[in-house]
Amino acid sequence: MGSGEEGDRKAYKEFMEKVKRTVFIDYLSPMVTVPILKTAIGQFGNVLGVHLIPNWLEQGEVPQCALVEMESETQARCVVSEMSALPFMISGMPRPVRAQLAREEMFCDRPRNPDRRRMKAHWVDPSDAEQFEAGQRMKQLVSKHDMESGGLLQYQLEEEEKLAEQQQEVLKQNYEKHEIIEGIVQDGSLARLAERYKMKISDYQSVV
Amino acid sequence: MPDPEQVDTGAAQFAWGKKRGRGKGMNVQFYGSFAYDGTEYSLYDCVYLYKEGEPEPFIGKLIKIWEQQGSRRRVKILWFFRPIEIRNFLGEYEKPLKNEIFLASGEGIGVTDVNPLEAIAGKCNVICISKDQRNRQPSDEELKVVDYIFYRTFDVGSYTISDEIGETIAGVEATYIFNFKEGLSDNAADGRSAINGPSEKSSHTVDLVLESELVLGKEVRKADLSDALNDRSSKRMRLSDASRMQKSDMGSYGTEEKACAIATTPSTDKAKLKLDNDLLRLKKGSTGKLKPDAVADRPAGETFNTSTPDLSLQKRQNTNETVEMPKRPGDTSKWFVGPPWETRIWEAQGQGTLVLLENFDLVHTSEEIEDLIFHCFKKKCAARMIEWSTFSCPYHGRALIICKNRGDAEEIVNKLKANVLMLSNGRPLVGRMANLRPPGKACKFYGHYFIEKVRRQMQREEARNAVSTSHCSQPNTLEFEMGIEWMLLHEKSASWWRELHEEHEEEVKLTARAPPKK
Repeated sequence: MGSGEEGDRKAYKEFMEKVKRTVFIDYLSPMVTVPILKTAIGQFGNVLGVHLIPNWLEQGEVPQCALVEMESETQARCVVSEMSALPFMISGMPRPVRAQLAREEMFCDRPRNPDRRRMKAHWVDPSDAEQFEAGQRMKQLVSKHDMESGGLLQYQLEEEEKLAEQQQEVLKQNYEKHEIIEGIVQDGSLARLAERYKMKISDYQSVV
Repeated sequence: MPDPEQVDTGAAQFAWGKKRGRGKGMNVQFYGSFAYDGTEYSLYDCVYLYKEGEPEPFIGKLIKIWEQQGSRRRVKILWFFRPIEIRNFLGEYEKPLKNEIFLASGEGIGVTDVNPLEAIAGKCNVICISKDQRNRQPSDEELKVVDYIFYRTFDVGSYTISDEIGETIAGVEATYIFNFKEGLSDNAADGRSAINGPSEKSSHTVDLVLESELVLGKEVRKADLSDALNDRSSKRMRLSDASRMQKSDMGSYGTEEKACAIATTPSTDKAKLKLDNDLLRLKKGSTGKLKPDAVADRPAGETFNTSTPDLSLQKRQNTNETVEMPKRPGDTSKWFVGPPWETRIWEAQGQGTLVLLENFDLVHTSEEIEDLIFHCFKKKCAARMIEWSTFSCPYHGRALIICKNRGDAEEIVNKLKANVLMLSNGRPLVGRMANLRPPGKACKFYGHYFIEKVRRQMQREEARNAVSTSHCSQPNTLEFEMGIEWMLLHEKSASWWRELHEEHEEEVKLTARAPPKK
């Protein structure tokens, strides 16, 4: 109210500036908190604010996502490009997070663009059978699509689980390999072998 | 480093206006006006006072404004009652009009209260329609944009209602109770002769009274006082106390509180639509009758572009009138500085007043959703957009709304189920009772591993550091390789979602066009 249109326009402009310097980050571990995120992204520039987007509706195992407001648009772009070039890991390894520039619809408190038309609506007359039926069917579609999205989410989570299992296995084998090597060094087998073959092993020792 | 969000919203902008007298011992400075959060308030303005847990804000008149020691800003409020609050005493009297509220009068608790200035949530447009000859009769235009009207008083001592307004109420001269006469409103804040008497007199005592008044609110009232007045006395709110009070006051009026909700709206849908259209025409025509300032500099038809509705909609207009959602008259959405949604939605779900709306265009805002509900259902609600996130549909938005009571929520859901409310994006609005994810439900997250043995060997401190460290992985490590595998999966899944959403979009288009299957 008050200054009316002018004020709205100004508020919207300010909001759009904010959108431009904000980064949307997803695939965050549930362990990530605001301070962690602030420190993590703080490596790229000045973090003005962090907002963890609450998940109220999704019943599945959905990773966290967040909005991080940077000091400038340049910094925001820098964050996105760095994180897209190399895997950036927060609060755990090796699954990286994903970053993209924020968009208007990622803010729950977005103001209305004064140059856009206001929302319109009308009740369809039930006697207009064709329109009415079409409307009813479109409403049913929403729940059908909801279910399909749920299905795809399930599928994605299964794929993630598969990848996680597979990687865990690789990691385990790698670790065991390292353990074997370490074992040889520590129980003196390495030294005895070197002696037998008349090799210098000081180099190896420093590596281990 | 300062968080700009907190600076913006946390400390609302404030500036004092005209100075008036001083209180005893130079501790109290009275004012005639102030600007708070971008709005100018003057003495005798009517305001909303928001209290956590109350579905409706309280309404009162500013009858004193001052600052006391320690920069504490206070306002003295002369209360209005909503009919629901004094329903037990309405008995024989004439039925309350739509939007009618009652001015408190008489002696006793519930006439006035002292509140922190920060409790003010916004201006409220209240007009006196008393036929008293001292009252300037309101014009039709004024009545159109009014939030509430009053012409009767409720005596808190005798529990009686009267349409006579005496010389003073709570020390305020009747001149300031009635509508301001032309030219008077400017001077009113100077408060020349009229207010000086009572105001100055009480100003001497205000230092003393103040603290005791603030304490009084929490004392237990005598049993014979009516519920309404008891509740009234707890109206004295302090922001910091708000959360404590919340539980006990919740739902004290229950579901009946419908009667007094909405600004002047003709009762039938049709009439309402007509009114809106009239309003639009009025504004578009730049007659400047309604809000001259707002209309004057706006090119005709820029905002209220009913003359160029979507083509798709024009076709349907043969049978149905499409109405664009103008702002509600006397829109009050700005005053709402409530508790965080995090707490409100859980309460609302518990009370069955939380509704999930879907299928509208992604660009719309919560304010527009509130307007939509107001115009299509004649209900007030508080809306919150669901932010777009990783798995949301890129074409349509979702919002949660909190209705005033369960009845409203069910009515909205049922109406949306039985009928078709077509929106400008060519989709019907879908609504259902919201089913929130239980809080604290642990979320599985794949892709972060620990090697148990290593973790045990590490000191706790070290482990914590390692976990909270974030870094760009370098290409010569194992984690890098694994990280790349995850990035690949992220990309892949993004493309699955894109495909799915495109498919959905296609399906919606087909359904909209296709004739019904026989």
